[in-house]
Amino acid sequence: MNLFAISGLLIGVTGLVEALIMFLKGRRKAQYLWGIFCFSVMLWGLGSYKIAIATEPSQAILWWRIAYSGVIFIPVFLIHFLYEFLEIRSKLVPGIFYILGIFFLVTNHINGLFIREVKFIFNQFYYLSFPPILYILFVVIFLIAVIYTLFRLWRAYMIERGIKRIQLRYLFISLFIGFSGGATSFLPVFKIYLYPFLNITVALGILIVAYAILRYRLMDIRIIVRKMVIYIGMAGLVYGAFYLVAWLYNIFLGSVFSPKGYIIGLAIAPVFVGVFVLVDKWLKHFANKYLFFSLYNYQGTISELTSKLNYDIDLDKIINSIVNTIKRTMQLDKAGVLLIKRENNKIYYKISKVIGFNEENGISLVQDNFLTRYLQKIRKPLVKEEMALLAKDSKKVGERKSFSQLSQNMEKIEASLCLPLISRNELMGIIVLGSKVSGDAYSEEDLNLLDILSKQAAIAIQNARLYKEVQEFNKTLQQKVDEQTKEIRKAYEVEKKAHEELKRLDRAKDQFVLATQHHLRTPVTGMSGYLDLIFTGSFGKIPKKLEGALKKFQSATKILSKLIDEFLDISQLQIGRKVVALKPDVELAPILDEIVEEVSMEAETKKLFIKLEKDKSLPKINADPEKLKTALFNIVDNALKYTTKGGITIKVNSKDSNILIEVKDTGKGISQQDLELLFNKLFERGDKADKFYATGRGIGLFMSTLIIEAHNGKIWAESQGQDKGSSFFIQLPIK
Amino acid sequence: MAKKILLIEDDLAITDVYQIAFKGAGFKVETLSDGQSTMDKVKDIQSGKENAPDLILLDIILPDINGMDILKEIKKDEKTKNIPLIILSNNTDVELKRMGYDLGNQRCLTKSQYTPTQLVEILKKELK
Repeated sequence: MNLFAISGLLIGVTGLVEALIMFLKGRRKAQYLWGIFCFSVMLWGLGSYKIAIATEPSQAILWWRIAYSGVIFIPVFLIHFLYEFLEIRSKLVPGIFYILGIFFLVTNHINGLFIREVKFIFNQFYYLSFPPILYILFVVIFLIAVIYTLFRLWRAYMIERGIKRIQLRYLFISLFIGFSGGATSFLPVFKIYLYPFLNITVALGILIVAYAILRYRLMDIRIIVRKMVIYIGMAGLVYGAFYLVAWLYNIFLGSVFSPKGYIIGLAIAPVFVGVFVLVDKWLKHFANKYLFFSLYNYQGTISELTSKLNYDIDLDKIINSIVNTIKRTMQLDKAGVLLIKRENNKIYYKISKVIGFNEENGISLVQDNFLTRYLQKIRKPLVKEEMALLAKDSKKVGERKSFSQLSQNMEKIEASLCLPLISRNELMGIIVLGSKVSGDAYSEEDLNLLDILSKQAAIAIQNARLYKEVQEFNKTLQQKVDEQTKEIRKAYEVEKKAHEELKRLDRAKDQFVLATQHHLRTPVTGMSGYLDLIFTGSFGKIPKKLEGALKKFQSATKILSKLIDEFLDISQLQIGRKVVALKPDVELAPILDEIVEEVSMEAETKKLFIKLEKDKSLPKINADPEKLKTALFNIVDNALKYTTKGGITIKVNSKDSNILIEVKDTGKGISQQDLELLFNKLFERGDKADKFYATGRGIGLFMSTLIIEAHNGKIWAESQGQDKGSSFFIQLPIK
Repeated sequence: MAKKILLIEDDLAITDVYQIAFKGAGFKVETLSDGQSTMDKVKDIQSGKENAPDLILLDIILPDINGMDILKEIKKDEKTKNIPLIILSNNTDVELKRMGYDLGNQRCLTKSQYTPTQLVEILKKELK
């Protein structure tokens, strides 16, 4: 096998593989056109292989014709592919090429018109001898097509940006290299005897395109080349190893099927198994390393971000981690996260974190509702470069326009990629990425990684948001509690102030009452003191004329004094002060004696008897002597007031643990109705109080009741009825 | 020998009435009308500069010093604490009375409720 055959075989195999990839995985016209172009190249490759090994001129001529069936269409499909790839709308030029192609194809099979005869060159194969005019014409057209294609690609390369530019560069290089070498195959035909080995560059060109397909998504094919590389590698190795073993068997053992051969085979088999496992591993590593050019550790990046996201619950920190990890891993110039806020069925975007992007422009990009809807629908990374293709595929005019608008927006902010953040079936944000600093495009692997990262990020963001919501809820709750507390405190302060004010007023009232007592009683004390001195003769004998008047004066002063006492006691009660200060070991007898002595004059005047009947030794009690005297005096005085005949008997005796005082009169008595009202609290019952005044009972009895109760005693009255006298009972505890 | 009564009273009319009544009953009466001079008097008695009276009538409400402070001063010294003492007041406030009781079970009288004659009788009983 000569070198021409080898190069032909290589072209054939690479062309076939690439053609198959395009046909099997392609979706677009350009892809199919490239596939059919590769198919033509394959025909040339395989044809030239057969030519190189042909032993007869006629056999060679047949293969030349078969090979040229492909070669003739190389410029045709190249031009058509060029027009499709660059989106040149004119169909004229491709049409002309098709016509020419068909014309040459027909002439190719007519003897002598296109291929005339062959010559044996380099002592190896039958090559075309100097050709007829049509062949020359074809070569010219071929070269024109190639040059034109390279020119158009170059021009497009100068204009385009981003990944398209990179794709164009690789396409240009591949075609330039492929055709530079491939065209040399024409030279021997024109008697320039350069060994046609350089056409191996055609295979190289095809490989370069394959590389661009892989790395720069040329033709937008998400292929399985990695697997194919591994399979082809493995197949090649198995094939090679098999022949190596077979060759060694032949040399050393003469045949595979020998007893020694079987035994050695048994030893070789497990070695093979082990070796293949290692080779498989190595090939995978090789494919990863050299075909995808990953600058990052795929698994490492995922686990690094996962651990960061698991560690944090703070939304800002999570977004920082996401943006920084992606930016660092992919070596990007720009990255940002925009979160969606939904309010009243409206969507707002909020920039959470931006590196490199201009914020204003960032918003203008994502406020594109189309992008939101589209990402929600596809749930995959959206690459700017693909948008032209998506637009082209779209059957709806509106969608095409939207893609175009979105593409322009992304262009404006120099964004290359939009990653949806989807959680619970809802788009919650977008990660917008710029270009790689290296200028490389996003590889298939990049997109897979970003897809996984964005899904993780979405979950983490969702969690953080929920956490934030809970926190905010807590905060709001706390705020409300604080506000309420503040209000309560405020109300409490007001209340406290009011309370203090009341207390102050209360104190002022107390002071007023105390001061009033003093000021009201002092002049009365002076008046009654002087009157007493007058009547006891301290100032000599009272002139007759004055005696009556002075007596009236004395009587009025006594009433005034009593009223003042009552008024002050009641005032004190009203302000909540006690009127009784109990003192231990108080003797009751002197108090009663004083009372009897005080009223005896009035009794005498009214011609009433007053008797005090008491046990010889009465036990001492806890009492406020002055107040108890007041209370008892009021009752005796009351009896005197309502008695016109007979008199008053005061009986005192101790029984068990009590002292019982009975003040019995022979007066007008008390009706049953009045008895019920007698000890009621005057100041709480307005109507009944009126009745008290009407009956003339006054407030004396009421005061007496309060004082007796303050001594832990009891007071009650009995009467047989009108004009049958009445008895007042006062019971006081001994201790 | 006539018993000596120390009357502490700021009201002139009452002082006059009591003086007449007490003197009429054969008592010797010394009057003081303010807290400070009373304090001075008490201290003089305590220091032995002056003789102790047989009975003290103490008005609780005085223009300068609270009568209760005077009472405390009297009750804190051996020379004065056993002198019979009647608190006189036209103030029937329970708290005042209680303080009086607490400082030696004093008798508290409301001036307006006793005529000079009655008061003389009380003094006679006290001094028996």
